[in-house]
Amino acid sequence: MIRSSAALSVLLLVTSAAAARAQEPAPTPPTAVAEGEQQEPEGFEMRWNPRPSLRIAGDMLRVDLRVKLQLDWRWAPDEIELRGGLFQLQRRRVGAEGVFLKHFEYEIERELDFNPEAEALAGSLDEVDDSPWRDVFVNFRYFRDAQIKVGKFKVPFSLEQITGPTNLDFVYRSRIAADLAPGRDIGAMIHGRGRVVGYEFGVFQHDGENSKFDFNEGADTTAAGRFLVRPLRIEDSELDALEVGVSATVGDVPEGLNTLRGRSTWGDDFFFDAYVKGRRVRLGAEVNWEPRNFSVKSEYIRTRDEREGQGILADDLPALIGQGWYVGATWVVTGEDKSGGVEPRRPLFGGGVGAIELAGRYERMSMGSDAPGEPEETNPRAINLLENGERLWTIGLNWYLNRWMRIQLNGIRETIDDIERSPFPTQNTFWLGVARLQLVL
Amino acid sequence: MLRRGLAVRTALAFAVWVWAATAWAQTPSPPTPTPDLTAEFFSDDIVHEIRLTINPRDWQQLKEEFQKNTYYACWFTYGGETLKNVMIRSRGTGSRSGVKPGLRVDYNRFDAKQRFRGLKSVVLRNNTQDPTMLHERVAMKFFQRMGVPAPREAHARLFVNDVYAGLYTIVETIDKDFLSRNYQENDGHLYEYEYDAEDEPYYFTYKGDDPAAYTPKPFKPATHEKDPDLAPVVAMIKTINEAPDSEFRGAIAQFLDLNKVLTHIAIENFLAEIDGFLGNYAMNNFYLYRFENKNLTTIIPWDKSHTFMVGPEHSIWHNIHAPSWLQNRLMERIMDHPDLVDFYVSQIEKAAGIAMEPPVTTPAPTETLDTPAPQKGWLETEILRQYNQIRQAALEDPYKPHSNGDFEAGIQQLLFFARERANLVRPQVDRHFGR
Repeated sequence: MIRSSAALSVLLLVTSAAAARAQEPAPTPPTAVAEGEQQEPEGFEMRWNPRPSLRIAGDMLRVDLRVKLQLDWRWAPDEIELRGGLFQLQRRRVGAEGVFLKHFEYEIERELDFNPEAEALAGSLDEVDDSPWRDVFVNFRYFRDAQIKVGKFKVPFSLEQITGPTNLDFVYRSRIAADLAPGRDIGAMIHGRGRVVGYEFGVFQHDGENSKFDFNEGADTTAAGRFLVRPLRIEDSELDALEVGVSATVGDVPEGLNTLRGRSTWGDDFFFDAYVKGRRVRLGAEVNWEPRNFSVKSEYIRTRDEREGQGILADDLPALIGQGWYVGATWVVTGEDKSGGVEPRRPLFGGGVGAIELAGRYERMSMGSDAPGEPEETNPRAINLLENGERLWTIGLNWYLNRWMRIQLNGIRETIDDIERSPFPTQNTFWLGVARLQLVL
Repeated sequence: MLRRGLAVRTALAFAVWVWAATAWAQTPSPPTPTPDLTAEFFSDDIVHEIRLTINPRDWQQLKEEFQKNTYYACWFTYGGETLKNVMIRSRGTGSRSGVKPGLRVDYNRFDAKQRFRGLKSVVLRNNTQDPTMLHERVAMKFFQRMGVPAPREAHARLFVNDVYAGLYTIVETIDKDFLSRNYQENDGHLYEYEYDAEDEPYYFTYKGDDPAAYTPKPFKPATHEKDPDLAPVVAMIKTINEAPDSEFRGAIAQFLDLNKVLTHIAIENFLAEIDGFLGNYAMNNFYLYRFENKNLTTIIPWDKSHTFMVGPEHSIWHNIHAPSWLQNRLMERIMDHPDLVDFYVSQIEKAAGIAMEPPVTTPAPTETLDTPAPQKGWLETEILRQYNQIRQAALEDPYKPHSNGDFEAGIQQLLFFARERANLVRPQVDRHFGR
């Protein structure tokens, strides 16, 4: 059961956001007519703008076909077992999105050739799901300030987790976004977005696919909320693009070895399972700034799992804490705007070399508990769980060949804090490399 | 003249004294023996007391899921000393029980440096397959008395969350510590023979050159897990199966000391083991240890709970004169060599002698010197000693699967075996040697 105080707090947040939003000028609809697009014709029509699109009777039904393909080549030292091998077809998705009956948006996306065992074995590092269906939702948008979304979609938490895999600045999401943020789940959400503020509040079946693995079902019914604001709306100023946000999730995690995971980039756990029971709370803060051809993003996430009655003597134990942060920056060297996605001004095979973007990120994540005075131990019922964490540097190059294709090259330097929980007993720093070819329609 | 002679003798004596003192000062003193911290824990003079403190839900789950090898955290208390960060799990093959779980206790599973008196782990055997709860401990004692390294064992009352959980046997784990103590080295390759009831029975047959065919079953690496190096084991098995008769002895010598193998088999057969190296269900219950930098391998006994189960008339040729498809390939080859067969029988005879040799210790507490009992051999005396030691704890064991009547009847059968076995073995020995 969700405590009424937590629900009331989020409701107040939503109400105040809606009130602030009411004073803003009316925003453009989320799915505005694309530039250069002509007035909706009647009847049946097939278009390519910028992807295959089927229109039936104007606004009655619009079906945009989507294809997402990502092929990864990975390199790691011999000590590290790359599950799934050096070459991995990371994503092969088809989907459809669009509008029907004018006020209903929808999206359906499915992973092709889905094999749950292979997916678990490969240790998909960004999105782990036991179903081939990814986003499957309907969004009722009649009231622009209070749209209602129902289905399976990303729980509103974490900028990087909510960002689609084809729009990430790096091949892999940060560890906090991949492991501490919820990911997708089935639920319903009310949301609105204006020129200055935006909000999302929803209730979900569990607390996301990132919490569910093996026998771990994650938390029960979870409430989640996210609030965004652009505090410096100054005309013609680069600070106009600055956006900050906070988010939270609240749910109850059942008794058992149901902790969130702390995993390395290659999928090995650096933190052990521990017994938890009680309230799971996530708190997040984010900053996103994309002035012209630059971007700076940063997030902080903290999770807290209660451990009621989980001691050796069935006593309550100090909570399990997971936390971390990252700071990332990108620079489109060829000068294209970053905001809204990089689209090469002079694509490859179109008289140019495409767009080139350099990227860098530093991140830190750790898990443990806070019980001063108690010896730190590694058994799952320890009073004070021995903390472990990792630090990562990622450098990257993104080459946008054209609006559909992108090549990403990343080098990752990863350091595990506790050498005894490193995959190689005398080494805790590893270099990994990954190259990704992406095709998106 | 006399004074001069005295001076010379004095000078000589002084020189000798100086030389001796100098030599003594340079002689390195013998290394101070490292005290064996485990000696008290494995002392078989008493029934020990071990206490486990574990989350009640974990203990319940361990019993409900006793077929799984899930580890659970607990505190381990012995002799006033409590070790936290300890893990236990259910263990055993046929002995697993959800009522009286057999346990493996790991002291270093989550803290690699943690030890209990130098031990990384220990087994707490539940004795569910033996009404007497003595077969295992007596058998291992017998192996040791025959000069074969075997795990140290003692009995203990086990308390879980302050509730008496039953009489268990503390069994020394066969690991690097065991190897160091018995072979003065520990970096060779140790393999545990693993066999499940549903597996195809294995008779040391050759399954090809691929080491993967031999691991993790039947030879599971217990050391060097990441580099099990089964190639010498494969070569040994190939030699056992395919070496020409004329070359067998020379070829096998680099892998096995056949005399030691035969001693092991002789002890098992003397103790009427039916689930051992020549078991009724093919090979079982042993470890192989290949010495450092050598191909030479030795057999280490394990789990002797099925000894003494059949009567003292158990044939010394049990599963030796067997149909070829049921016969252990190594024993089959050995039987072609009369001198080895003679050695085997001589070890049976030695075992009989050990069993009947007068004990050094005083009579069992239930007997007095005023009314001396008929002369008992070592085996019978040892059984009586252990029986008197554990009796109360065994009768009070609320979770044993056998009744107190079964316990007492089993003890009588065990004593009968000890009294009669040598007498029934000797005629078989004499027959072999034509006496």
